[in-house]
Formats: sequence, structure tokens, C-alpha cells
Amino acid sequence: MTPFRIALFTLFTALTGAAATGCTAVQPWERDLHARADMTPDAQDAAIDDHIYFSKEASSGGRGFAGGGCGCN
Amino acid sequence: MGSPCELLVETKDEALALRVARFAAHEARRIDGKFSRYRHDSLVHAINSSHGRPTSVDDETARLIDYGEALWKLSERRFDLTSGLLRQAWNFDEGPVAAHPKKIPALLDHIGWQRVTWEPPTLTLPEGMEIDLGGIGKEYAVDRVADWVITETDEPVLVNFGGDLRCTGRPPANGAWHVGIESIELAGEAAGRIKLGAGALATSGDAKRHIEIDGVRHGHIFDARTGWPVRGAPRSITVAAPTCSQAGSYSTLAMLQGEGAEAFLQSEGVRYWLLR
Amino acid sequence: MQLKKPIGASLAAATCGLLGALPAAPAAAQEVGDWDIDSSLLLYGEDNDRVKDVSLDIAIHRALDEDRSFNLNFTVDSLTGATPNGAAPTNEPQTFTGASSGKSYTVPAGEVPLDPSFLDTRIAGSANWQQGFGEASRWNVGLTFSDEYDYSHIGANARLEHDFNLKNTTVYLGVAYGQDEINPVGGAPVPLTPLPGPSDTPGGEGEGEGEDDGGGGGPSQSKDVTDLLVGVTQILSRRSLLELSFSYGRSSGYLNDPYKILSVVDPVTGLPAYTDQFPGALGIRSFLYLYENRPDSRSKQSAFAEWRYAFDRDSMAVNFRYMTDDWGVRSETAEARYRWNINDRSYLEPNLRYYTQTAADFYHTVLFIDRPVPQFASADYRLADLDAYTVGFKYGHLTDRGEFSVRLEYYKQEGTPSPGSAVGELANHELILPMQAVIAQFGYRFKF
Repeated sequence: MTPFRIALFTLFTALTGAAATGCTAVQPWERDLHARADMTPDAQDAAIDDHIYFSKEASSGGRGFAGGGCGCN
Repeated sequence: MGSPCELLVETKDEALALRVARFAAHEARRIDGKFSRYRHDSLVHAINSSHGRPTSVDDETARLIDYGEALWKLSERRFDLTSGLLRQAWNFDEGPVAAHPKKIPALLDHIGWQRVTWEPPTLTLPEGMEIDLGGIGKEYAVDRVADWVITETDEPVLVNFGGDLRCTGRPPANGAWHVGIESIELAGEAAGRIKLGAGALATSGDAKRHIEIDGVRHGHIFDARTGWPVRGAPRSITVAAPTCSQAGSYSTLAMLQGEGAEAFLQSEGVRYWLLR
Repeated sequence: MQLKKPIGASLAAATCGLLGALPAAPAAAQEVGDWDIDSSLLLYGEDNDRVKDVSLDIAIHRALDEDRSFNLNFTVDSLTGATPNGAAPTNEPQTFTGASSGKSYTVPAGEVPLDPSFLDTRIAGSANWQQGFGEASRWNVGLTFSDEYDYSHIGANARLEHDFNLKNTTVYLGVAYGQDEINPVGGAPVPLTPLPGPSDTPGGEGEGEGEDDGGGGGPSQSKDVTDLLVGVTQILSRRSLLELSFSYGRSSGYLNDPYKILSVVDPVTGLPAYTDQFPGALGIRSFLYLYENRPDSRSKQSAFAEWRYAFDRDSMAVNFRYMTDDWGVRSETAEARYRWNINDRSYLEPNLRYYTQTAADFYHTVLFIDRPVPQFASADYRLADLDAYTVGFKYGHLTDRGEFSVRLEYYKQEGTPSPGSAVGELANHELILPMQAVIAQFGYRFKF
């Protein structure tokens, strides 16, 4: 376990814990900020990045969509 | 007003939102009460019960009557503040209409702005006639509230009284108010949407109600000269204009053109959406 | 019966009388476009005359109503440039037969061999239909395809989503299946057999004519890929949300790269072994290279988490992905981006990415002549121990008609050879060429 990995897993766990315990439902009228366009990741950019990294590295996808294929890896 | 009225305010200032909402609610009730045909304490009721005697009206009522008279001239008498009596010949409730066309000639004797003596501030309405400001009152109320809001704040506000609406201040954060209107036909049941960045929208017509006479579909906007619904009227017209009164007037006058609605709106150069 | 002349001026005058004043500005109202089009031009270039790619992507989205929408995507890209063929550098020039062209090429002494004949044009497309059902659920089905001269793919996917908890929580489940067909030029080589020398007929089997329209010679190979995805998006507060997902993927069939080889070297000198040292090799004596071989199945699992946070004006996101598979590869990816909303119409979004992976069990930078040939072996640098980072930014500007954007990224990747590879002569050379790439993407998005 590298220090990097430890730090990231801690963040992961902390956030999961926050998600599980700190969830009082946010009312619809309190979700103004979430409606802002920049709070949704850009799907086209994500797909392009995924394709680039898939052809240069040994990992693929895992981010939220499944499928697609090419002869590059 | 006969329809739900709402105000949308985009601000972090809760006090401002409350202040604006209170004014809008107060103003809507005031205008509704003052010009209601039904309420016994309303000014319009007083005028309609004057039995031919001259009545003095206040400045606000005078301005509205002037406006109604202007529309009567601009529509070549199709629009008339005194045409409300026609409801006695036509059934406006749900379902196909049971009309009483035989009543129309008699009613027409008591319809026509030319019979009215209007010398501001005195209005003399002959016995048996009545005026109805319902056709212009709602849009006027929207404009009154909007003009007041402009003096109060620059924040984005949308005044929406039953589909007659106007926005003031800066455009909202996402660039424009997204308004669903029935005058755009889309697949399925959904309304089309318009992005309103500035100005007002008003809609005439009612896509859900219509009158069938001998199998021919008519709208329920009446030509005051004939007492009959306008033939070939579109089901719904929405117009964009700087004020709600202008938008409402354009859409009403366009309706009264029947088959010629599109040509009228195009020659006026206004932005419109129309459903036949 | 038409009105005789326009009434606009008279109406305006009458309204002015009614209200006391008119707004100066005209109304601004227009239909919301039904079609959303996102277009992108991507330029990708690596250093050392390696891969260059130009790609055009169009994404079309059309919402029919609140519940139903469809997406169409179309991409075309053109790849050129050189790519490492898996052989190791040595103190003499090395000659290989080009993968795509069938022509041979020679690599100078001391350089990591790059196959310069990489040339490929690919088209790909997808179509998805989304429909809502019930109060708070949606399903989505789609088809994908891609085609390049030696590879083609078709696939189908489906996804189910459900919102609850006042729409603060969304759970989703996705599945995808793909069937790919591989037609290497000259046919698929027999794995772990020697690459024919430069004067021999190219290709492991078959006619070896190297047709332009796709692999010729042997039967085509195939592989199929299944992916499963399950995840949840949870709004934590007015400002933040967390997305967690887990995915499982399995591919089986022909997973080799038909064009990649491994150098076989002497365990002491590090110099290339010769074909006559390999039992059963035919032809003129030349350096010994073996075609690679990977297992015929691979299963991988990954866990992903992303946290997004909104400030009053700006926003940021960080995410982390951990992946393991049964080839022995483990990877960690971490990304962070910060969106600076400069004003209502423009933004700047710098971003960082860090990636690290461990080598596949059968990754060997070189093979040694004194040891038995392993069952699986590949020198593809993409299966090695490697670290990479990306630093870049995106700038966007909104106009009345649409949004322009430009993305600029710098990618740097460094691999580590297998332990014990740098013997003898090999210690004098860089066995895995570090790679740097610049990515430029120009985008335009509009409603129509």
C-alpha cells in the first residue's frame, strides 16, 4: 500500500461514510447549484478521453458507461 | 383573475422576494376586485347598473377604457368592450355548445361601442348594455406589477398570471426563462418551449374548448359585429411583445382575423407561434 | 378580411397611454431548439514521430418530450504514425516487416523499434433511446458499431435508472455486450512463433498479399466483451454530490495484438538471439522475434468514485478509479478538475490526471533464449508497469448561437521494463520509450 493509495482510499471511505450518514434529503428548491450546467460532466469530453486512454493504457471504462470497442487495445 | 397567478424571483434576497410577491398578490386582487363583473362592490358592476346614467370613472379606469376603445378601432370593431352580453347566446361550459342563435339579433341591439358616450372621465352606458374589461384586465395587471418590479430591483423576475407573462430585470442565470406554451405542436402531449430573455408573452384561444356549429369547428372568440365566433380562427396564438398588454392585443386581434391570422401577424412583424 | 395597414405604432401609442411608459428593449423570445448538437475536432500527436490522430465527433441529442429522447453519435478518425512493435533496441540496426503495409522497415541501432507504417481510418457510431417509466425511472437501450480495415465491432447496451429520496439518490444498472471481429493484415500469426525474416514472405500464414481492404490470408478472429455496471449518485448537500460505481467486464476470444512481437535475447550479453536457435524456425538466419500471446480471456473489475462540489460561482470535481484484472494488472486513476466560471459567458477549467498501473503477469520486455517460452508473453508497453500524468485546461465561450470550447492537454507516460531485463547491451538503452502527447480539441455545441 503506497501512501498515495492510502490517502485515496481514506478519501473514498470518508466520502462514502459521509454519504451514508450525512444524508438528510436536500429539498428540490435547495438544488439550484446542482442544476448548473458545470455540475454535470461533459459526456462528449469524457467519451473522447476514455477512448484516448483506453488505447494507451491497460484500463478502460469503469466510469459510468459500458460498451464500445476498437482495435487499439 | 380566473387563473393561477405566480411570480418567479431569482435572488438570494429573501426579503426582496417577499416584498415583490406581496405587491403582486395585492395588485392582482385589487384589479380583480375593481374590475370584476361579478362582485357587487366593483366599479364595473356599478357602471353596468347605471341604467343609462352618466358615471364618472377614476384615472385608471379611464385609461383602460381608452385602451379598449383603441382596440375597438384598430380591430375595425371586431373587439368591443360591450360584447360580453354574447355569453347569453353561447354556452361556454364544457362540452359542445348549445347555442341560441335566435337570441343574437336582439343582443346585438345592446352591443356596440358606437352607442356609448365616452367623454373622459364620464362614461354613459345606455340601458341594457354592459362593459367587460376581462379581455384586457389580466395583461394590464401583469404590466402594472412588472413596471413596479422594475423600480424595485434589477434581479430576474417573471410575472405569470395564468399564462400571460412578462419578465423584468436581467435574464436568469441560465440565460432565459423557459416557458411551455401550447401554441407549438410537438409529438405527444408535451407543450413546446420558448426561451424568453426579455419582454412578455400572451396567449389567446383555448385549444381545449371549441364550438361546433353544423359540424364546423369554431373558436370561442366572438366577432362583436356579427355576434358569431370567428370563422377559421386558430386554436391558439402566442405572441411576444415588449409589454403584456401589447402581446395580448396582438394575439386577440390576430384571432379575430380568423383565416387571416398568420398574414396579420406577419405584416405586424411580431414574433408569434400559432396552432391550427 | 384584412386590416388595411399595420397597427403596431398605434397599438404602441395606446399602450403607452395605458401604462405611462413602454420598455425600451424589444421582446426576446425564441423556440428552444429541439436538437442539441455537439461537435468536436480532436488533434492528437505523440513525440518521436509516433501516433498522430485526427478525429471528428458529432453527438446529436433530441428530446421528444420530458420522458423520451434519443442520442446519435458518429465519429471518424484517422490514425497515422509509428508505434512500438514490442522489440527491444540493440547495438545493430534491426529490420522488420511492416504490420499494415507488408513492407519492411529498418530501425537504426540504439533506437526502440517503432513500426512506422501504422495507418488506419476508423468510423464508429452509436444510437441510444431513452424512455422514462413510472414516476422516477428510466431505461435506455443502444447499439454501437465501429469499423476499421482490420477490425470491426458491433454491440448493444442497456441501462436502467431509478430516482428516489426526493430525487436525491439515483441508482443505475447497465449491461453491454460487444462482438468484435479482427482481420489482421496477412492473417493472424501463430502466437509465439518467429517473425519471418525480411527476405521471407511476410505473414504467418496464407497468401501474404496484404490487401488494402483488410486483412487477408487467414480466417478472421473474434472476441466478445461483456460489461456490467452498477452505481449510485447521491446528493450530499446543496453543494455536493457523490457518485460511486462498480463495474465488471469480461472479454474472451482473440485478445492478442497480431502485430506485436517480443525480442528474444541472450541472457548474458543482452544481444538478440538468432532464428536458428529456435527449434523449428525456417528461412534465412536473422534476429529472433516471437509473435506475442495473451490469454484468451480477461476479466476485470473496477470501482469508481467521483465527488463534485459547487461553490457560489465555480465548481470542482475529483474522482478516483481502481481497477484489477486477472492478467495481473492493477491500476489507479485520479483526476481533478476545477471550473472557473469567469462570467456568465465564459469559463476556464484546468484539470489534472494521474495514472499508474502494474504490469500484466505475462508482460516481458524481452524473452531470454535460455528459458522455455512462457505460455503467455507480450512486450506491448501498454501492459507494462507505467505511470502517466495529464495536465491541461478547457476554455469555453458562450455566444447567442452556441458554445465554443478549446481543450489543450499534455500527456506524459513513463514505463518501467520488467525486472531483470536490462542485461548486457540492454543496460545501455532505454527499453521503453517514454511517451509525450499533446491533445487539442476544438468543440462547438449548439441547439437547432
